[in-house]
Amino acid sequence: MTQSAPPAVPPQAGSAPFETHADRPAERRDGRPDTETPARPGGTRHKQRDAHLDNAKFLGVVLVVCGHVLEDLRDATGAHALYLFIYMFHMPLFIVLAGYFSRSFTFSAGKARKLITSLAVPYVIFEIAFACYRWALGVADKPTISLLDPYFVTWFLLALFVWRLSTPVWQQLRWPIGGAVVISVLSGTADLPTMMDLYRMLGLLPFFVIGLMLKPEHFELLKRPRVRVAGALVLAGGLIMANLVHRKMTTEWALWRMGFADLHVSNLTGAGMRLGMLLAGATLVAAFLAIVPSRHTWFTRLGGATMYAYLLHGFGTKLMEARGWYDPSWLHTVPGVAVAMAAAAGFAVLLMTAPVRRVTRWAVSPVIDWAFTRPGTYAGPPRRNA
Amino acid sequence: MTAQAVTEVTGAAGAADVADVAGAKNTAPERPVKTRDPFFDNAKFLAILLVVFGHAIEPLRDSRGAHALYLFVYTFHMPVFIIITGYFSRSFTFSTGKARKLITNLAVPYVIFETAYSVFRWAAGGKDFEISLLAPVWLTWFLMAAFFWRLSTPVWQQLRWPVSIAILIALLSGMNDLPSTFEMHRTLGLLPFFVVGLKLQPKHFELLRLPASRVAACVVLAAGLAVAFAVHGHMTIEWAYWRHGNDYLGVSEVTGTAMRLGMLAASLVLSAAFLALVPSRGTWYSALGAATLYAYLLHGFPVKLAEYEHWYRPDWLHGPAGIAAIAALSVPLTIALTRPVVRRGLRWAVEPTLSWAFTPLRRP
Repeated sequence: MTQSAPPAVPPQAGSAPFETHADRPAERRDGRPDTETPARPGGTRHKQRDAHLDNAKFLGVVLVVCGHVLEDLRDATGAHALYLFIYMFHMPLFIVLAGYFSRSFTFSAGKARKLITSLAVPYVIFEIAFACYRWALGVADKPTISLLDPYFVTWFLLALFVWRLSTPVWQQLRWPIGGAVVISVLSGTADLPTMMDLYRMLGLLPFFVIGLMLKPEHFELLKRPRVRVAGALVLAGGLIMANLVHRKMTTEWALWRMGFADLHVSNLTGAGMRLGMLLAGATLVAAFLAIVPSRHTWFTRLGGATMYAYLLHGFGTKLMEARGWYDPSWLHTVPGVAVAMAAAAGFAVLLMTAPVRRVTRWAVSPVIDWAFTRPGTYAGPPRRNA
Repeated sequence: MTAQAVTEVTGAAGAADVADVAGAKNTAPERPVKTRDPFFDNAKFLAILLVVFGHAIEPLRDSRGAHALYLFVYTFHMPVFIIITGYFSRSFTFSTGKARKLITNLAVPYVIFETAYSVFRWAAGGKDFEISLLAPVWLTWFLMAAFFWRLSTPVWQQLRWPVSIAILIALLSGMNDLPSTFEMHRTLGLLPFFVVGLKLQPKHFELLRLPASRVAACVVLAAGLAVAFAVHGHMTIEWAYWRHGNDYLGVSEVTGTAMRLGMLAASLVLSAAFLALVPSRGTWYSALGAATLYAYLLHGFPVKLAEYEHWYRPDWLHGPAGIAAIAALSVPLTIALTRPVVRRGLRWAVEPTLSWAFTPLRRP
């Protein structure tokens, strides 16, 4: 790679892997014109970031942080239902968007490198960091690093790595979503090992494939005034539903990390529940995207840095748990939860600000040109019969 | 009959090789697309012959010679295929056609043969009936592993020290107690061979064809056989299977890592020696080398049937005469399974077209 060194100040469009590749299709670090990135199937290359999707990612990651804080306050009135509600769609939202940004994913040199720099390397770094952190906090006796057994939030990096690699396969199938749903339901019937969070990788696959199949016009549809009203109604309906059912089902259904046998249901019940969760998740994701503002807002720019908040917030929430900071009883009340949610949102914003990005860029979005072949060594795909 | 003639008659561009499963053309880059290099077809045919022979003498391992020979063959027969698979994946990009081949020539045959072997095991072998698509039965692991290796190709193409990283991953994988799901131990443990293949260039094969290399190869193979006879009683054959972690094999991480490194080195050296001895001119079996995947996937049925039906019981089989007899039988069996008539009859299972399952051709 030529040493067109990255700017000292990270570009505003952060390179969080939630939008790892396609957001910046024309960028090449070696400065050559990007001839390998084909025009998008659905239209022209967009050089500009989509404010709607950046807003969605920002709000989505705020929900992730709030959800993790809420996890320890679930005994408060309404908190358990709210937790279930958020978990129904917050990760599906990210996965759908990750799929959407993978639509034109081909293995040009730049994109394969992105897969390594923004998913594989951060995965290894944060697995090690969390293992050491748990040990430092006294939660674990020794730093146990298990790269095949993702800890806490890191599963998403591993899953996205595999999903991205599988993109070309889905692009070719005639009924990709049907195929992914079948795999998702079948995976629930299997007795999978804990290794690699396979239940999540296979169970949540349909959301990724749905994202792959979405086109810009689908998002345009969501921006219509009537659809936005419907979106608000659906979300309200979802919240009411969550309040009705949250005591009758385990939240494990929304965590996607176990098989039907572990959840003590028959395969038939499990398949029914899973299909229901897929449907509810997809509906709520659509509804959420419909109510997300599509204009430029104060947080739009932060939407390019969601991976910072996603990966770093765990250090905060795990510290809270280890130090017993969730213990005060006033936190476990409605006003207490409200305060905690506001604090969580503030924390999420803080983690996406430029100073934090600058300091942690080496881990979240590292530049490791030294680990790659020099340009020219890999000539790219030979063009036959062109 | 040339390889090309066979492939034209049967209408496929030679996509049925074990090592060519995802449909990369068997051509060196500077050659015109249509020419197959008989060297690789020869190599694949001879290697598949070793696979068939290896599986066929498996029940005879109570005799010393068979056990040593088995270890010797197992040290390099699959590594040869994996290296060739990697070599033909060098230019693997996810153009429409190639992504489809991944599905038609690996994923679908995997499901079909996984099911077929499960049914066969139950019907002929009297075992419990269980189809587990996530945990490969017997030889089907290669299809699953090749699927994952191929998908990962673009990542290796970008890294500066891909072979070292692959070896590191293989060694680390041995320190974990991985589940049988996805045959993870094999997929990760044998990964270095695939990556070595990816990094090979035509000039490396030219090097192997030098007369001096061929002489050296004879010496290496003879030495390898001698070493196999010397050590086969002191090590478990599991080291050549690559399917378990150090802990399961009852060794420390240090011993296990050293063994793995040793096996990787031995396999690489023996694979190179084997390839050096493969003739590079067209031979009578060059054409059959294009259909090795058929022999690979099908030979399990007669071999397992012989086991289920106790055809291995006669005492005379468990000695040099038996080994010779099995070797003599493996050749016609392999030839039979790579015949055009077999390809025609079983194309639907090994390299199905499945155009109904795909979107209209689309340029990504």
